[in-house]
Amino acid sequence: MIEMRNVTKKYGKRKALDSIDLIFEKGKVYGILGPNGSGKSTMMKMAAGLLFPTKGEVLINGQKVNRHIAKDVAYLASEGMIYPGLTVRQMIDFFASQYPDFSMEKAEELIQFMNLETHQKTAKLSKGQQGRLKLLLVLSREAPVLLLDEPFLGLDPMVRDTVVKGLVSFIDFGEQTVIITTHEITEIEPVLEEAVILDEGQVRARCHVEALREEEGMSVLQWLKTTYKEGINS
Amino acid sequence: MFQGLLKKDFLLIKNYLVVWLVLVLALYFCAAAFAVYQGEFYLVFPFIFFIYFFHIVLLPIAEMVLLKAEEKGHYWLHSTAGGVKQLLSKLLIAFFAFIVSLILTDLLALISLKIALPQGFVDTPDNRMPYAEGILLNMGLTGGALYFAVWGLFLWAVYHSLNAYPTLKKIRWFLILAIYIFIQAATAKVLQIPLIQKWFASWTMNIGESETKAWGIGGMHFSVENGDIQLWPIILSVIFHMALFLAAAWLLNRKVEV
Repeated sequence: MIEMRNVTKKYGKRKALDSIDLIFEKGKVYGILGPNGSGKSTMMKMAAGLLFPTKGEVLINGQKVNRHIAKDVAYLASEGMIYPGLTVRQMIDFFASQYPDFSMEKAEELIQFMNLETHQKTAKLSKGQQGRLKLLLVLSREAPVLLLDEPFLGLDPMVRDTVVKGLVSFIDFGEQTVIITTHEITEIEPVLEEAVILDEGQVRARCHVEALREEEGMSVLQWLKTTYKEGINS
Repeated sequence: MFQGLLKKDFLLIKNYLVVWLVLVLALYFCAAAFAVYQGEFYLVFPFIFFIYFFHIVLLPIAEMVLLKAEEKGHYWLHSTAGGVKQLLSKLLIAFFAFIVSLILTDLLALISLKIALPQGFVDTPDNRMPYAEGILLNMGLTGGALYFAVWGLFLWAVYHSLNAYPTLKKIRWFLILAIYIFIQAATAKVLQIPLIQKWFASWTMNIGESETKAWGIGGMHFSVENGDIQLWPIILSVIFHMALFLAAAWLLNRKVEV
């Protein structure tokens, strides 16, 4: 379980996150939606222990988040993460050496699934292949928490489809808590259980995806648009 | 885990190291060809000394290449290894590159001396190979390179810690310089205190040198008087630089943000 208690992150006078109170329950898949600059990546980095709150605290399974949280959190970063000079195999070996929960068996399966060639230098991979490699590295971990920050960034629709199938096949539903930030709502909707709209560092709305569909007959994208329209009108 | 970090850092620097070693060889062979062409083989030695003294900055450069590789996204901070292991891995691999390059330079110097000594291009006492002087040169270069490498790590960590303060972003370089100058000036001032000088002189070791010599970097100074070398400054210097390294690791763990 991930808890954010009154979390604020300030850069000078600018608030990237403003008094966020959120709980992400164990075994559920969450989507964090919102425009650029809404604080999605800041929230993910904070849960990954890469940023520290100016105010409030972030807890994962009751433990205050710091740099050591990486042992319980598998984090897919929107930038960086892979070293251009290393091959796919060397990246996999490096991750296996750093995270005790890294499953080589799962990694081998994912190599086949993601259609990656292990001898290739990561610098020579296309953007789509790099995206798939990042996902492979994160999904090969059997960590209680998965944080996927913009997993579809710069990927074409075919690759996005592979990524979603990868998520469905390799996430341990019910056990792993998964948070995904994305603009590609339609693609990710089938995987989500709950969605949160973040805007200007604040939680604008929250919904249960299934209830939304069954009770209000709305997709997450429609709900997002409606919420924004209401926000503008009010 | 630490082995994995070492392997990754080695892979990150491997190509740069190969290019550097090829450059050293190319420079040496050009210098040797020039010296042979002039019929004055001693002309190769200024080039060898240039390569030797470049080693003082080679270690910090190698270290910065490794740190630069992490700067995009700083994913290395999302790690089960703490700051000490992360930075130690970088320092050790940069040091490995430095040692490999220093050994190659030693070999080139030895080959050149083997050629130059019998032909009378170089004078040494009793026409012997200057092994002891070579070892001292290697030790001096290693000490100097480590000094700059540890300071480099510390100042790099301070620089990136200041990321969290946007108002200081434009004056970060100035602050880094100010911190370095302040610590050096403070160290030099402390070393001038008679009580400290007396304390330093209280523990010496004879190394057989008859002359009086003094050398140092920044605020640190070591001296040999009548063959006696003061040990306290050496010990304190080692402790100080270890503390600097630990401070860099602490900053990396607690203050450097992405």
